[in-house]
Amino acid sequence: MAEFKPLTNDTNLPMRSPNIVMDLPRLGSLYPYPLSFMRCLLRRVMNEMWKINGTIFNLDEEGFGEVVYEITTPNAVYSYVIFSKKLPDSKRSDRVIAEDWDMTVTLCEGQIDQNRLEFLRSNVPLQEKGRVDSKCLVLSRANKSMRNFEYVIDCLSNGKQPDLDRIAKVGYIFRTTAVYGSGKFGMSDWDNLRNKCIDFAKPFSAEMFSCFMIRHFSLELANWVAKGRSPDTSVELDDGIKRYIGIGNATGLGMAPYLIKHPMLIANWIEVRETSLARIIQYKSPDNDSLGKLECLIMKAAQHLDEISTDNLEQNELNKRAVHEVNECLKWIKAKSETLVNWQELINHASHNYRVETQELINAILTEVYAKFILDLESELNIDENYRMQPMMKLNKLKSLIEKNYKWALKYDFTKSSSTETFWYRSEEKQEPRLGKKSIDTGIEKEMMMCIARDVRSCFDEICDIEDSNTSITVAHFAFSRPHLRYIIRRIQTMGLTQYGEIVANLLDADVLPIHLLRCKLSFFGVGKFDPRSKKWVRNTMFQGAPLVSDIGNEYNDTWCFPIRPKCSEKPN
Amino acid sequence: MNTMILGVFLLGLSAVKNLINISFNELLSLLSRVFEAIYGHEHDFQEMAQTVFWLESHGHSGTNKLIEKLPELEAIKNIYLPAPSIMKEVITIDCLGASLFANASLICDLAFSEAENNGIAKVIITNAKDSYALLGYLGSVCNKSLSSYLLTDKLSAFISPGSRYPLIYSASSCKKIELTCSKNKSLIDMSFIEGLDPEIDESKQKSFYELALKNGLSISTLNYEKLNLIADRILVPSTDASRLGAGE
Repeated sequence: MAEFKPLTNDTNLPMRSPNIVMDLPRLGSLYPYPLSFMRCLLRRVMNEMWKINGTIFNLDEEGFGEVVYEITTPNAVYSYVIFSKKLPDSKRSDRVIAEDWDMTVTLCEGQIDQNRLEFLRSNVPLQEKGRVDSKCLVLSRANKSMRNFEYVIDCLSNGKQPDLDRIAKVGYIFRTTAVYGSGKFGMSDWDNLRNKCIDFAKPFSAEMFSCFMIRHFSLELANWVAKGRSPDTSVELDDGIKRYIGIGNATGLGMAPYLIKHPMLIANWIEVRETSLARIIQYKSPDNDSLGKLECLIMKAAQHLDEISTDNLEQNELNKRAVHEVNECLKWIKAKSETLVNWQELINHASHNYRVETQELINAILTEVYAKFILDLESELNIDENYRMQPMMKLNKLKSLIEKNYKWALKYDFTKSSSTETFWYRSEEKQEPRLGKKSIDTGIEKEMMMCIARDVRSCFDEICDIEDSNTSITVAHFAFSRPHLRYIIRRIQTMGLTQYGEIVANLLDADVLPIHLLRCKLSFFGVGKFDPRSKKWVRNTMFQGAPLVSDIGNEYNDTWCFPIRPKCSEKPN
Repeated sequence: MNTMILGVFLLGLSAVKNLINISFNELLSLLSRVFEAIYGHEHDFQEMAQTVFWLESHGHSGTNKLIEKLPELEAIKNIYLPAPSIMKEVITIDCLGASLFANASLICDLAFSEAENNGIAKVIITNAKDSYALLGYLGSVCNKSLSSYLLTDKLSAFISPGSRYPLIYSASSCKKIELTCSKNKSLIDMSFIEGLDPEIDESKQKSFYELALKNGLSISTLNYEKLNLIADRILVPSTDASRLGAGE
């Protein structure tokens, strides 16, 4: 049984209720904040001044070949190995079921010799079909953004910088379609990685670093190919533009089951986030300095949202409304600046007057104002997951737990066909998670266990069938003749010890919006600029505005949130 | 004839040498899918997977044992155990010939529950197979307050409260399987192992685990393929229509 300890013993903190926080549409409106994983990673890289040098750069003029970067931290040496190849346009796909890519990569422990390179060369480009070993920490791939790649090269070859309006539409040159870690395909397990590789011992740190390196290589590649095409006239990308170029990402349903399979982890991340906000509200008060920062950040966030280009009408509308509301909020703050005595007033004002998207934007901005005040909470992001049965618990206690923590689940009417119209399943194509409709699709007999609400309901109904006089029996006795309930019972028991519990949603509903799950997790990664392509997958941008590898060693202010269009040659944030 | 024997031996040797290195996460995920494929959602397939994973990752050849038993597990799937007979601290469970891969967790948790209430509980398990599954569950769950003592015709074992590493002794002549749990170790009759040195101690299992965590687990490619064949039964055939189910 996992040893639970409260994240904080500070009982003064005005933590928001799980009823508010765990609502799925709200979770899908979260913005990145200072403790997002990308930010945690880059603080480490910049503050510890990691050295990142290309040790092998065997590319032809078109940028095809092999590259190895060696990364030296205060603790260890790693290698980032890239295989870049010519890919016909017809084979380029964002889907996880794709078979070939423009670039395949791996992050490894230690230095690379020829034998090791040969081994990686034989396996990394195969991705899921290859086998790597436990010295590999991350396996990933990326494709060119067809819109931007050739355009950027063309500009640079002709001695010009690319037009920022064009870059703003698609803020990257390459786009990842999967980033694997945690023991997949023979790689190092998470427990091994966090013991051996302290530099990446935070959640998804190695994966985020891999994305950072793809971004770095994509920028170097642009310069390289432009020079190869026009050695006499080409120029290199301006640093300000480079910082504005991130790495694209396509995230689909593959990410969704993670949030349901790891509820302890998700609840912990949310608790860290909520603790950050509650601390600020409890211990910080508005003053000239903080109000000034808030104003700047609101304007920056508004500009950032205004600059997002997406074909998705709903997202455009959401962004526009958020811009309007956050500007209204700014007017309110300015009007109240002499009398605003605490941040709770701002939170209350937002919750009464603005939509959820804006409320969460304001919360994120507030955490940016006081980023240094919450950085210590970074150490709380790791948690050991353990969903063990507590066999001694009395059945009536289990029933009370359900009534207290799963009231939301008991409200769904699962007798209505629309409540169970959707089912989740794994496809034989790379086990890709997909959604089916009960009324038209086959495969429901193989559905994944994605509906916690329904299963809690079933468990609760079976408990209610037991006569009251028998509810003092232990859970062990109850489950003995009901093995199908074991997994949900241990989940209920375990999550009952967390502050925030489960994501509140019926994921079998006919109108389920999986995109909220994706956005929730992506916000913890630090991802922004969402471009939903459907209800089931979203393009987004990572590390836009982030420092460059060439910025390592310069003063670092960690203020690259809400990236906006630069003026050329702008200094780093 | 000798040539044939040699040929078979060499073939066997090369088959044994065909090993694949897999991570802990991969094995756990694979085992979960295997048990889900066999038992559906009628049993806690994740716990079953944890049981076999514990055995494999602590040097007890969990996957080999599972592979041997697969035909039987497939044949006798959904046996629901009858209510145990409970007389003071002695619980008797008739497993009706079922495998303890499916039922180890139910039985151990019942023992824990009774031992917590009464100070001690002795579970006598009859008509059961695959008693090492109990070891796998006891090791993986690592009960913090109870000592556990297991006697079977395959092995005997003792686990201290909070320990992940049971001390494993030789098999008893006991025809039944007995599991005794207690808050107080001195209440447990461990006369069978008294004075004996464990055949497998904590340090061996710990070393095995740590090395496997670092380098991966080596299992036979043949077994890996067999397990994947079963695991793939939970996958739904892909069609153009189903590709839309991931969003276009």
